[in-house]
Formats: sequence, structure tokens, C-alpha cells
Amino acid sequence: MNDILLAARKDLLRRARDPLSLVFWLSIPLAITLLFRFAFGGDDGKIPAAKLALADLDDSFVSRLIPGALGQGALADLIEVVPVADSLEAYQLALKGKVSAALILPRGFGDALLDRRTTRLALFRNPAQQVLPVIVEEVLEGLAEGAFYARELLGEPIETIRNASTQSTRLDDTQALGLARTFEQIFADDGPQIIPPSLTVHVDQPETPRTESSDYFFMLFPGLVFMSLLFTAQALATDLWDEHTQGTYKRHQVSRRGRRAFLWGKTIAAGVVLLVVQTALFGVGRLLLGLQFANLIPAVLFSTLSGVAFVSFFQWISVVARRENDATILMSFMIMPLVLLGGSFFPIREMPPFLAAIAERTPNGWLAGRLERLLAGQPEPGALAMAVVACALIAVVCTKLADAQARRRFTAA
Amino acid sequence: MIDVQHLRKVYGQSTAVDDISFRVEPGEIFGLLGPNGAGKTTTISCLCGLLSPTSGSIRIAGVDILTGGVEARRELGVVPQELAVYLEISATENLEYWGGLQGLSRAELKRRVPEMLSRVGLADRAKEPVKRYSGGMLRRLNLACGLIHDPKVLLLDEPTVGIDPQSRVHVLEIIRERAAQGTAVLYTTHYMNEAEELCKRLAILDHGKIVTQGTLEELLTAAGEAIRRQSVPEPSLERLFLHLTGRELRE
Repeated sequence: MNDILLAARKDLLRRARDPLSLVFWLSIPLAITLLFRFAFGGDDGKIPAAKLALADLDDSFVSRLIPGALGQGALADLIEVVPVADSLEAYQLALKGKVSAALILPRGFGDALLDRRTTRLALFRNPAQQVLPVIVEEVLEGLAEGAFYARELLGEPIETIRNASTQSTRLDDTQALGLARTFEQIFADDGPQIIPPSLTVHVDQPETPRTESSDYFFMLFPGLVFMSLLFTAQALATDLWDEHTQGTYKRHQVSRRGRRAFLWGKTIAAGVVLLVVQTALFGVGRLLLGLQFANLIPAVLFSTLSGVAFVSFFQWISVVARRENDATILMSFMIMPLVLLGGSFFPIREMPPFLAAIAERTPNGWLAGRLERLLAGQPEPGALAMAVVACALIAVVCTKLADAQARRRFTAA
Repeated sequence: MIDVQHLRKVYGQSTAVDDISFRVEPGEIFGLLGPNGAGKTTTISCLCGLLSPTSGSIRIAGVDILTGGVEARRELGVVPQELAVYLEISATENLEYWGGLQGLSRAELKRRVPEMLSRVGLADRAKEPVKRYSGGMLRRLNLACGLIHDPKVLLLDEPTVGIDPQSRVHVLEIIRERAAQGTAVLYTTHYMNEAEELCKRLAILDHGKIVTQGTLEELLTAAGEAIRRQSVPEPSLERLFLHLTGRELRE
């Protein structure tokens, strides 16, 4: 055992003296994780606000109520109003992707509403976005409905104000008091629902308690972990060829205790390297996703063991190849489909059923599923135990196969 | 110390080593010469247990390399043609590692590593990563890694390739010193003057067979006359080598 630990220590020293490689292995998954985090959002559950370019061509008392209504209460979290001067500017902002939609309030909008005439609001949706423009559209539909009821309830007092305004006459104190009492009564009875239109966002609560796994990025995170593991495993596995090229492999084989120590030491060292990389990756995951600390430790250990299985497998594959270049190509041919299909770019649960069925049968996809359950604090003991045993078995068998194959491959004269 | 009898190594249709026999006694430096592809590396690979011979026997320090591999390797020091050291770590760490794999204890390593570093002239740069070393320094470290466990048998495969004259002289001195202490040394090289200078006995290998072996004087006396008769005024090992193995280019 001492000789294996000695060999592992040597490999760890080599890694420590070559910090660029370690930084590279750390930075790639971290960069990808951060990229996906910013692309898909995190654990705070906030829906990003939709920007709405609003061109108020009417500029009336009624039209000015619209941005006010959109800036109230829960709607303010959903929609951010960007006032613009005219419809052209509004369309351009939407076309350039600066806003989710453009709303044009036409001239005569206020009068038409008060006169109970049909009027048309123009809404132009940003074609590059799928979700946010729909939110804007739905909110505006609700707003239009609210405006209809407001017209019905407040029609009379508003008409009085409008007439006074157009005829440039002043309301006497009795008229003003009467209007104030009317408004007060209406607001007391129905106002909270209609001015501004009060929308309540109803969220269906699932029967099971909400877990972190309902978050998109959370669903993607295990796939990202396995992408990092696959690429790091590939890089670690090619070290066998480096040892062969520089003659150190043969020196192990002719030393008294080096034969057994060489590959087992390398496997243990790979485990330590993976543990460091995974700890950093999960640390970032905790910051971004708020993963529970209690779930992190088993998750890091599980992913490290999975990584060791991948390293052992790729070590074997790398010496099955006749040359180092062939080994790199062979491993890349295996890794790319695994990454693409195994949920590293798209959560398996969000895949179409036929693709999800394939993804769940890839080794990384299957293990990522177990990891997701661990992170959610809902491990399936049977499946988890099976995964742990399978990884340990693969690590042992592939290390032995790689050892035998490396002797055949590297010691031929 | 090294006893090779009727060694054969066959790869498919090709015979890399064809029935060769030689002995290297304790304290002797035995030169194994031959052009590229003659079978030197295959012979050395069989001697250190990397390859299994097709037939024949190899005994290292009295132990059969096939049946007593671990025991035989304990007494074996190998200095390969490649610079088989780790470039990322220091000379001290390299020596501690290779010594450890030969079974040296912590205490033995603590004593031997500085001695060895001093002997190969690397003591003052022992803590530096080896990748900063010159070619000559790397060769000296390569030699030190093969000697760290004080082996009774030393196999040296072209240990002076591509180094400066100072390092070369230093390496040859250390090899002589080892032989003087009783180590049996098998030495391969393409530098004939080196072999002339260093080796007590020599074998010239070509196409997998030993075409001649003996002391330098015996070889020159036996075959040198023929060379002289062919109008070469003074025989030398290089002329003898070319006479026996031909002048055609090898792989």
C-alpha cells in the first residue's frame, strides 16, 4: 500500500507543480456553470421583468393612467415600462431585442374609451423571445378588461370632468364635492380591483412540497458536473501516454515495487484531483443555487467516485489505442455524444420523451439523475447504492485492464 | 552477476534476438554494441524483465528474472536511453520517489539522496524543478535515479546521448567508480571511443546475433589483422565495428 500512496503522492506533486492544468480543469466547469447560471437564472425564483416600450401618442388623462397601472404592485415586478417618443422607436427597440414588446397607444385612445367606441392598441412582440412577450400580452389583456369595467363604473364622473375641461368651465364647489363623494364611494366599493386594475398572480402549488429541483438551473447542474468530470477524466487519462513518452512508465516496470504502484497510484491521485475540482464546483453551486450543505458532502463524494470510474475507464481506452493521438480521438468520440445526450446542455427532464429515454441510459445521464436526487435531499437508497457499487467496480476492473494493456502496449520493443 | 544463455526473442516472423549468450562478472563493464535495430534494446528489455524471452535464460545476481522478478529487480539498476525523470518535481523528489519504489526506507533515503545528488553534481540545484535543468544535468539525474538503491547490476542504455563533454566525463567516471565497487555493468553505446575507453569486454550484436565478443585486445587482434590487410593502417574499435556490421545505413 505504501508504494501506491508513494506513487499517488508523486502524481499529486506533479499536479501541484503544474497549477495551470489544475486552474484549467477548475475554470472550464466553473465558467460553464456561471454561463448557464446567468443564461437560465438561479434559485431565487424571480421571473425576469419584461421590458415594454410604450409610445403614448394620445397623451391624454386616460392614456397616462396606463403606465401608472403597469407600475403598480405585482405588475411592477413583471413589467418594466420604457417610455418612448413614437411608434417607430418602440418597434425598433423590440426588433433590436432591447425590449420584450412595444405598445402603441393611438391618438384618440382616451376619448374612444370614454365614448365607449372600439379602439385598437397595437402590441408588437419581440420575435426573439418566447416567454416574456406572452407575459406582457396577458397583462395587457387583463388591463383592457379592467379599463372596460372602470369605464362602466366611473363613466359619469369622468364625463363631467371631461366636459368641464373641454368647455374651459370651472366646477363649482357643490359639483366638486359631489364628484369627490362619488369617487370615494366607488373606490371604497370596487376601486382596489379596477383602478389600477389589480391582478393577482395565482401560482398553482404542487401537492408535494417545492424542492430546489424545480429550478431549471438546478436541473441542469448535475449534467454540468458530469461534463466537468468527463473532460477532467480525459485529461487525467492521457497522462499514461506522457509517462510512456518520457520513459517513466518503463522505469516503474523495472523497479522493485513500481509495477503495481504505478496505475493504482495514478487512480488515487486522480481521485484527489477530482475531489478538489468537484469541491470547488459544488462550492460555486452552493453560492448560485443555495444547495444545502448537508447534501453537498455526499454529492461531492458521489461525483468524485463517478469521476474515478471515468478516469479508470478512459485510462483503459487510452492504452487500447495504438498512439496517443488515436487515444485522444477515441476518447473525444466517446465523450462528445455523452455530453450532448447526457443532460449537460439541457436537463433530461426537459427533453422530449424519446431523447430523455436515451439520456437516462447514458452512464453520465444515469449518474446525474442520482446526483440530482442527492442534491435535492431525496436520495433513492437502492439506486444510489447500485451507482456507488457500479462505479467502484468499474474503477477496479478498468484499472486492472488498463494495467495489463499498458504493459502490452508500452513494453513491446 | 549477469548470465544470459541462448536468449531468443521472436516477434511473429521476425527474430529480434537470436541465440545470444554472454556473462558479465561483478566489477566488470561489458559493452554491448550494435547498429540500430541490431537487438540491443530488446536484449536489455529482456534483461530487466520488461519482455519475456521466447527461449533461453537470464539470471541477474543469481536470480532468474522470469521466476524471481521482484528479487531480481531489487538488485537491478536501469538507466534507460530516455530521460526517465519527472520534469515537474525536483531532483530530490525524483530520487526519493525512485528510491522509495526500490524499497529504500525513509532513513536510507535521507542519507543516500544528498550523497547521490552530490556525486552527480546536482546538490546545489537539488530543490529546483527538473524542467529547468540542462540536457547534461538531466542525464546525470537519470543516472542517479538508476543508482540510488546501490544495485549490484547496472544496465545502461546509451546514457551519454546528447550531452556536453564535461557531463560525459562525469558520467563515465561514476560508472567506473561503480564497477570498481563491484557492480556488474552492461553498457550500450554508439560512441566507439567511449566503449574503447570504458569497457573491459565487448560484444558486437548485429541482426540479433553476437558476431564477436571478447576483450578489446582480443577483438582487435582477431579481426584487426584482417582490417589492416585491407589497407587500413591502424585498427580501431570503430573500424572493427564497421567491418563486422557493414556500412549500410540502418533504421
